[in-house]
Amino acid sequence: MPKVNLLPPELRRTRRSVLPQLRIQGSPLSLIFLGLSFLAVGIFLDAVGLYQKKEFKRLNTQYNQQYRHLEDLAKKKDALEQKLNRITLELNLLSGYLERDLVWSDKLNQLRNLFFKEVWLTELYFEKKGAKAKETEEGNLYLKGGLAPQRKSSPIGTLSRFITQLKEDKAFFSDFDNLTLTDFKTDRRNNTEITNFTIRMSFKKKVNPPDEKVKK
Amino acid sequence: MRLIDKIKKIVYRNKRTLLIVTVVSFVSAFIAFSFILVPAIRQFSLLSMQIKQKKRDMAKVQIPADNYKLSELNDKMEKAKNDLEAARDRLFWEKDISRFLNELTLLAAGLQIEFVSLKPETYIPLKEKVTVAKEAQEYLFTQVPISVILKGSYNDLLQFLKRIEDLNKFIKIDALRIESDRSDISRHNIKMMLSVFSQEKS
Repeated sequence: MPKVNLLPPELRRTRRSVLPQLRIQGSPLSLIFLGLSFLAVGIFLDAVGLYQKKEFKRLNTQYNQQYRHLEDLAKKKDALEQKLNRITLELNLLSGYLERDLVWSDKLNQLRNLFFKEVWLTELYFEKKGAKAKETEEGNLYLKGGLAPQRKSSPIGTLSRFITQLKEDKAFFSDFDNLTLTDFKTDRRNNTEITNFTIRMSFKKKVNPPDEKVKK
Repeated sequence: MRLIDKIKKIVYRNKRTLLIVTVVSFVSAFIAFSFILVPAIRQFSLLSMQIKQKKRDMAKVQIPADNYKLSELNDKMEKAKNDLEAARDRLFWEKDISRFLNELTLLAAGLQIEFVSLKPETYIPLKEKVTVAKEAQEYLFTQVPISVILKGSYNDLLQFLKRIEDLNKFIKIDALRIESDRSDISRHNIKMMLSVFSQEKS
């Protein structure tokens, strides 16, 4: 509804439409300003976004490179470990074959030093139960021999001393766990009493370590 | 009255223009907000998050200072390879036993040992399996037993055995029998069963 001013002209307060216009124009101006600021901030953020994208791309490339490198290293490590495992197992396998259960030159040398002059050996042999090389060496060592007649002691006494000596020699007896006199007989030849004996010594059973052939 | 109408008209026109300008400004501001600012903020925050995440990931893929101890592993590997080569070299002979027989006679050189017979026995095939990471590998060996009969003194036998045991090629002593020779007490009849190994394939 239009306003009508009924006051005389000198009392009339001239109200130019500037103020109301300004008031009315304020809102589109601020809206324009707001829109412009949105635009500016948006463009600024886009620009930052471009930089960020570049940075992200750089980081991503670096990450991928590093990841690939790390992956290569891990693969290399796994392959090396696997190869090392295989070599170690093969080495253990061959070492098992190469292992000597008994050093015969040493054993026979030790045995020679344990004989008395009254005792002689006619036969020595050893038998193994396991035919295959890798099987636990189980077997016996047989000593067949004779005793010369003596005046001071009986043949059984001499043999007993000999057996005790065999058993008490730690270096020699370390590979055996049992000693048995399996045969003992006296013969008379040309008016001389000769005593023959057979001793059986069982080899110590080897305890095999748990099978480690399967490794992950 | 006409003036008032004129004024009214002007005010009305101004108001309409202002309304249009206001609406257009609002729409522009809305468009700028919705289609420029919001996506930009979204993209900015997303990229910031991704960069942060990537930086965190980067920390996870740092190559360890010791390089997984690869050089140490390589050294171990080298040593193991050499040991394996040495073990193979020591254990395996050619399948043709002529070299073994030749070696045996060389071992007896200088000793009062007389070979009565050397007889190769039936070959024994041996099979071994090694499994690493579910991958099995079979090793086929052949044990070649050789029966040896010889004559010699106890001392010479000991030396001969020592030479066999110290030889850089492995000879297994499977059986040994020493018997006194009644005709010559200084010499013994010695029977031995020796074995050598050859590799079929690995």
